Parts: sequence; C-alpha cells; structure tokens
Amino acid sequence: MRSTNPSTTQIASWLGFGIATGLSRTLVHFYPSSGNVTAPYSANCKLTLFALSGAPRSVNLEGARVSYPDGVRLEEVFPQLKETPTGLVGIEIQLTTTQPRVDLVESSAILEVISGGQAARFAPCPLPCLRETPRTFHAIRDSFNTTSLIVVNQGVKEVSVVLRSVHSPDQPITTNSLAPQSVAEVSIPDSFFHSVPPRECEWGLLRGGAVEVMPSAPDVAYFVMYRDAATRRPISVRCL
Amino acid sequence: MAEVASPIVPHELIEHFWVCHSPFFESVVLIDSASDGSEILLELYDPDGALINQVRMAPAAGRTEALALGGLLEMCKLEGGMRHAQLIVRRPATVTVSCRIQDREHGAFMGPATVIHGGHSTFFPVTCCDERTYLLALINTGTAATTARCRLFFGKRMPECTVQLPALGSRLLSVSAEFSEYLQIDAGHQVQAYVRLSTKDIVPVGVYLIERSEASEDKFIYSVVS
Repeated sequence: MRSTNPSTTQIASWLGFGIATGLSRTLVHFYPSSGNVTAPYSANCKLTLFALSGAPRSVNLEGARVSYPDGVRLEEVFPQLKETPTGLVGIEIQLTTTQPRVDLVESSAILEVISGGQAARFAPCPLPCLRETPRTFHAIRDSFNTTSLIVVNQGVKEVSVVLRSVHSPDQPITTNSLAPQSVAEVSIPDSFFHSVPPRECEWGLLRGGAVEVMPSAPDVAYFVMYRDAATRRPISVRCL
Repeated sequence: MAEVASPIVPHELIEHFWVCHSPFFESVVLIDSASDGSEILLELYDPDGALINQVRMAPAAGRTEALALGGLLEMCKLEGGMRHAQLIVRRPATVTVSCRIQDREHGAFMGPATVIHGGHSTFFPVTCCDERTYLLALINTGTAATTARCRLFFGKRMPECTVQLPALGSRLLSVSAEFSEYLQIDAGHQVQAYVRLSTKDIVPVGVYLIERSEASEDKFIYSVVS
C-alpha cells in the first residue's frame, strides 16, 4: 500500500498470541485511531494465525471504522480452532485503511485470553519489534503467581531463547530453541527459584528475582505471563 | 529504607503506576537490583496531587524486595472507600520494578500506566455481565491540571463523561456506576462493550482498567490491563 503522504502510516500491525483449548478462548480487540481525525473512515483488520498445523491462515475483517473500538472472538473467524483445539497460537493483527490522509500510527490492540471465566488482557507487541536492549521481568513464584515466558516467532529462522538472571548473567538459567512460525511457553526452572534466597512476606514465602532475555529478531515477540498459582489460569500478561 | 527530603537519586528511568490500599486488595511493589549500591526513589501523590510520601531505597542485589504500600498510603484521602495514589518510580536501568495488586488469595501484576495525551487516545474492552465490574484508574503524570474524557461504546450507544485530574493527581471511575443507565442487560447475558479514553491537551494521563470478576460466592479475582 502506498501513501500519498510519506509521513502517514496506513498500516499498523502487532504480534501476539492466543490460547485455543477446550477451556480457554481468545478475543482480539482493535482500535483504529488517527489521533485528532475523528471522522469514521473505514478500516480493515487482517488477522493471521500461525503455529497451527499447516500453513498460516488469514482472515480479512471489513467494517471497522477509525476511532471506533471493535473486536472478534478468534474461534468465530477461525472455526477450525473450535474443532481442533490447538493450544498456543501466534497472531498477527494488521489494521489498514485506504484513506490517504488517515494516519493509523495512534492505533492500538488488546488480546484477551479467557480461561474458566477469568480474563487476562494484554497489549500485543507493535511490529517490527525493534528493541535491542535486554528485556527484564520479575520471575516470581509464591502463593499467588507463577511465571513463564511466552515467545512468539513469526520469522522463518529458528531462534535461540536464553534466559539469564540479572545477578549472574554469565550463567544462563535456561536455553531453548524455537522453530520458525511457532509459539512456546518457556518455564522458569525450579533450580532458579531454589538458587535465590526466599523472602518471607505476609502472604508466605516469595521466591524469584529479575530475569532478562535478549531480543533476537524484529519478528520475535516476548511476553511475561503470570498464572494464578492455585488454578494455573493466566491472570496477567505483559509484552516485554 | 529511609525517607528523603528531595529527589537526589540519579535516575535513568521514570515510571508511573496507580497504587491502592483497600479492604479488598492492596498494591505491593517488587524491587530487584542487579548490583549493590543502586538507589531508587519512590514518590507517592494522593488523588489531589499532594506529595504524601517519598522513599529512597538501596535494595541489596540478589534478593527481591516486596514493599506493601498500605502503610505509605495512610495519609492518603479516601475515595470510594479506597486509599489510592500515583506512584512515581525513579530508577537506574539496573533496577527492576514491578507492581502487583493482591488480596488474600490472588495477585495480578500490572505494568506501568498506558499514557495518553493530546490526540493519542486508547481503549479497553469491558464485558458487561453480572459477574464482572470495572474500575478505571486515571493518573495525571503531568504538572498541570487536565481533563480526561471517557466514552462508552455499548452497541449503538456512546455516552461520554469527563474526569477532572489535578496535577499529579489520580481519579477512579466506576464504569458500571457511571454508565449504569446504559448498561442494562438481561440476567445471565454478556455484552461486549468498550471504553475509549482521550484528552485534548498535551498533559499526559496514565490509564488502567481493573476488572473484578466473581470467582465464587463472595470471592473475587482482580485483573489489570494497562
């Protein structure tokens, strides 16, 4: 798509993930926005799923309008997710408009994973994922939460995922390889939690510390996911 | 840990959080330093933007600090039965800070606030049903007063309200109460709706959506999106 004004952005896209199982479903919410332009120009939303069996699949959703939030259930536009629960799936969300004067740079999107009635909503990673510095997060295990890392590789190359404690970066906590066009949940090994002194809190022992992951490519996104310790349902997800 | 009179901590990064203390849940800040000697400064501003507490910390490396904010919010005014505030964290890049709201049984992590300002708006999905209620937490991260606008998208209805935010202040908005006349749904049904938040001027405003969902009778789970 070519813009008549080189400073406008007529495509906004994000990379994220969803969960499609018998107990979990995913909603995609999007908000085409053009800053101060509030006229309801038409916009399109293209959803691409990958990490499925077979090639990636795309659906074009028409009828979106600039300045109006909208959303869909993933299983409604990809009915195969209902028939064959897949687990983790990669999602690319792409908003476009044919209006040459509409700049979609202010647009946003939210993914919502619902498990057993509990929703975790989070912003997907804007594409391209250009951050070059290490991404740091708290890897925690206590009576409330457990922690894992979700890695979404939309690229055509295998990527290496190395997690390191910020306290001893020379010794990786865990090293994983992720195939092209795939999504994986990387668990924080027990050995990490046993290696750090626990803190006694009002709610019990808290174990963990800050962990970093090095970015690998502009088409790879990282999310920290905190699950409820009792139910194992995702409760908080954050793009790194 | 010691209180300080002025922000003299050399910092590289500034993050804004909404924090609270209520009979139902409270905020806990998790702090982890990669090396000894790194200092961070926490500043707490009440809903009217008054500085109520400053804490300078030099967390020891290799051990996660968990700081419950209830005690630091005691001077905070009550709003809707809750003490809430804006937390500004000034930290070097070697220190990691997270925030979690938690009750007796569950905890939900929250990132730094999504910031909107003139021309840049944001949105949150809300599921209207019997089991879920929503709070919007707004924090003025700037040093001038401003007004935020909140529009509900509920089918073809789009009512709007405005929220006045003092400099560095914060406000809570109950979506269910503010738009109660529009959110009439049949028992047992769910309707997908959205809220859109915007401001007209350049003063930056941080926003969070807090969901309270009923897990079982008298038991609730909280989640936050920013």
